[in-house]
Amino acid sequence: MLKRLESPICVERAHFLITSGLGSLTERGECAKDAINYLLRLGYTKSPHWDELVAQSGLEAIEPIEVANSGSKRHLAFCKAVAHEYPEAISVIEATPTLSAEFYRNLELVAHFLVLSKNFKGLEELEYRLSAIPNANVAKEELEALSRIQILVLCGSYMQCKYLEFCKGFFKLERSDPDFMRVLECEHESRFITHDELSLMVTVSSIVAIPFDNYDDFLSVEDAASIERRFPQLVRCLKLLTNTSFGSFLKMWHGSIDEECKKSLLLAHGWDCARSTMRHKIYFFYLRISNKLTISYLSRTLNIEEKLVEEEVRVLIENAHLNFEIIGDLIRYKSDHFLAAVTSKLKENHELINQSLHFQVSNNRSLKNMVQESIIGNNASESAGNDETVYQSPKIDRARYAFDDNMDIDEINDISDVDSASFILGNESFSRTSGC
Amino acid sequence: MASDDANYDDFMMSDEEGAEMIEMEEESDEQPEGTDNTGNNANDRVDDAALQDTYEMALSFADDHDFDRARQLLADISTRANDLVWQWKASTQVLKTWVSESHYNRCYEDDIMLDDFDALLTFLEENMRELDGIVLKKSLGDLLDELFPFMSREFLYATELTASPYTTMKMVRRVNALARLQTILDIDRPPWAEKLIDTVNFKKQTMAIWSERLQNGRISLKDLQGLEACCQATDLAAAVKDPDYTDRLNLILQCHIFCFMSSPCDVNVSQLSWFVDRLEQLSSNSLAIQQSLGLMLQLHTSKAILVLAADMKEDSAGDLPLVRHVNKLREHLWECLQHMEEVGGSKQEFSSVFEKFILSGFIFCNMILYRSERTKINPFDLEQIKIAQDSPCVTQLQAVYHNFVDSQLSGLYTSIQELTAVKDLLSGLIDNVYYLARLIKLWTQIAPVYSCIPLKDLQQMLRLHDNISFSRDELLTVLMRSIMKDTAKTFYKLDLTQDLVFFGDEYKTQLGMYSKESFTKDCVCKKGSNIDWANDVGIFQEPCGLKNLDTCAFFDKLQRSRDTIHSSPRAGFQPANMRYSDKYDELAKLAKDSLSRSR
Repeated sequence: MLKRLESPICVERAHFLITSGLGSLTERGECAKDAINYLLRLGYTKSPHWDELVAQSGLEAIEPIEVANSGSKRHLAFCKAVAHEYPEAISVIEATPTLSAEFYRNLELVAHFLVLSKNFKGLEELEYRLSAIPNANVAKEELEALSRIQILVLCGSYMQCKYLEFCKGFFKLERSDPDFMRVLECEHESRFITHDELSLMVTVSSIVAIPFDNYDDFLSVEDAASIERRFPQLVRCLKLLTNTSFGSFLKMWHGSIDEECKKSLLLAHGWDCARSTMRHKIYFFYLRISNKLTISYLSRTLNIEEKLVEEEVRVLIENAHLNFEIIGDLIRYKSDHFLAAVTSKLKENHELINQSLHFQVSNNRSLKNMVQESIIGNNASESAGNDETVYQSPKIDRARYAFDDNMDIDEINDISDVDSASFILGNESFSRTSGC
Repeated sequence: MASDDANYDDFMMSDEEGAEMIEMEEESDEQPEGTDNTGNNANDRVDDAALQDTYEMALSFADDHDFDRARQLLADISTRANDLVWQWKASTQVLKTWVSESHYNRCYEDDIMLDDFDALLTFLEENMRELDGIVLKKSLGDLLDELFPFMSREFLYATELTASPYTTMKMVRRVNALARLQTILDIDRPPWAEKLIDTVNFKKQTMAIWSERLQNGRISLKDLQGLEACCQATDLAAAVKDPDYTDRLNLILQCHIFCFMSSPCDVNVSQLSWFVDRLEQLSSNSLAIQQSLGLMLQLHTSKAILVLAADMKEDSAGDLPLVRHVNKLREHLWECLQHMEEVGGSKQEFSSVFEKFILSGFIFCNMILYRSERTKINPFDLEQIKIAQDSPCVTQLQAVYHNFVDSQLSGLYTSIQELTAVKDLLSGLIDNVYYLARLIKLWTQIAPVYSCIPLKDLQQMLRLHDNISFSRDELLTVLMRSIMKDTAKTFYKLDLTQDLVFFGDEYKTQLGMYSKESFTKDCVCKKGSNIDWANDVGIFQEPCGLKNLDTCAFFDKLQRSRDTIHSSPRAGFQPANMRYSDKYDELAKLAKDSLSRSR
């Protein structure tokens, strides 16, 4: 599988296969040997995976070697990448003079390192650098490298679980060049992602990204025939889903597709997310159509362990804030209002307001008593005008800000709908007046 | 026996044949003059003159339909003349008289004719090198066309067509005769005979296929494959020039149609579609092909079969073998109906299996499209069908149609079961009809009436027949698909613990309380809980109307709908201020803070 592969991904793939524990022992041993051979050819064995590779390969006593700085920059970069020093590897490549003749081929290496180091941000930035349109007399190899970089960028969206973005990008590339996947078909010695892996990414991403309601539409897109020819698995799955044969679909999803995805270094990264999202999608569909259902029922029809169903449905309800509750085995719709969550806080506020109102009222009362006492005490004929203002101001405040007990929620809505800032402003003025 | 022979004549003769034959005889008159140059010495020439007289006399007898006497004279020439050319000419002319005789008298002395043909072949075998190639080529070519014409009025797939052992035996003799001619020509492979060998080969294959079909009621796959390989080896440019090419295609399509009619699962889809494509390419440039009788019927039938077969192969799903391209299918079948009228003339009564197949298919398509169509044309009002409105097949179909429109499921089932001849051929389409009939019944007759009904009762109501159960899974699929495709007329909810269905708009409830804005905001808070996840799961209202786009536009539109509209979780009723649900919380908190501060 990894024979004749002259790129650091060879080591990563071998290591991935070993740690995943998939495939037969001899198969894994072969991969490990391939990787070791590559490292020996490279003359640099300082990979963090070295010991594991040697152990798995069954070879005895191989001397690690480390030839410093012999050969080209490319060689140096590969050594750095093998040692997982990706930023250094990238800067080595970037430091080479940007010979326009090999511009894209260099960028392709950078893209490899970015994917290996899972630096998706860097990958996105790299994409911007591609926007410069290559001029017409660029070599064929360069154009192919450009296509491969674009594929790697897509690969990045897949690995970040941005499935729709992946699909969009993939089919856009395809429209500009219907045959663009051929750049993966050649037995390139530094091939990074295989044709089959990309196809599987398309399959998985499309299944996850397209909403249930639109599967049928997708199956009848204009180029449906060509899609069916190239992604037979995808079409099969979608047909099962549109026929609501969720059980049979999940059998494939958890069966052959799972197996293939787990085996691949690149696919495995986005696969866990895709697998559970798809299950969530199916649970959600059931929730959409039912008021009451049981976990055991879901487990039976979908052929998923009860425990997993319960956990995942719980996560779904929590994460999406769905109006469902789980009581034992039962999942049941729980009617709720969108302001329900706020009511407790509003009640607290209500209390607070009432408290300060009481406080104000008693304040005012004592003030009034004080004033009246002083009026009585003083000469009544002297300053009647001043008394009037002092007496009236609290009354105005009360009329404006005291909410009565039957406070209307809609009133809050109205205020906040227009502009939430105005309410804050009101609040400030409130505190200002109450501070008086 | 007599009627058998008449039947046999029917497919041994084509309509154009008569006209061609007369033309050819005129041509053959000129032949002696052309070949005169070959005789060199004076004796011969005198002889020639005498022979020429006799020859012309024979031809005029033949013109007067006195075939026996003409043959006598010609036999006389053969024995009298030393010259090979004259012998050859006389022998071919004898065969031609047989052909004319059978044409005018509608009787076929096949055995004698084939004996004569055999004799001619022996003669040819012995003397081929001495005879002039040009003469041989022309006369042999003519002869073959007359003796073994291409049949265009009878089709292989007319499954009713059978033959007596006597007829099939004659068939076999013909095949053998052609095989012999082929071997004779093959020995030397003279350059002039190249095209002729092809023709002979094709005629032999045709005969062989027919003979196998009549004798054993099946298509000889070996012969068919030979024919196909030969056609596929020819490129388009060469095919345009080859006059036999369309005949070959015609025969191949007929074979495939026959295969379908006898066993619908056995169609070789990839082969058939290749030939359909090729014929389309050819016919798009040629008016002659477009107007050739029967060929267009074959073409459209093949296309219809391809549509049917494409859906039949979808075994994976099992429960819902729906035909996806009913529109297309109906178009093809409609073309077939029109061409059938041309081929069959006015005696059309939809009595053969093939005709029933086309007609029933067309009616079923109309039923399936009945709901979605704006113009509700009753297919039985169409001229092509009205013409035979009292025929048993049309009456049966009318019953089916009415049962369908009235949502009488058991009636529909019984009436379809009566269509014994075609119900297996159209099984996919029929399942589609059943499915739709159930759907219509569910949404127009049950959902508006009941507010709550057990699944069990629904199963009972949507049963096609007392003996055929409608499983719970099937029912759930029907219900779920109607949500998925947005075809549910009435909203419903299931109680899967007690297997109840509730119908009514009051069940349009809010599923979630979390707005799209809230998801966008806390993409960091929990693993996996972000806006992409929510969109993939389908928490929010999803766009409809993504039909008939290309993939690129499809995903673009999907993305746009995710970005812009539908901000609140899916449900029926949407409170106007729902989208601010998280803001209220914030607001209350702010208020609380400032209140406590003000204390």
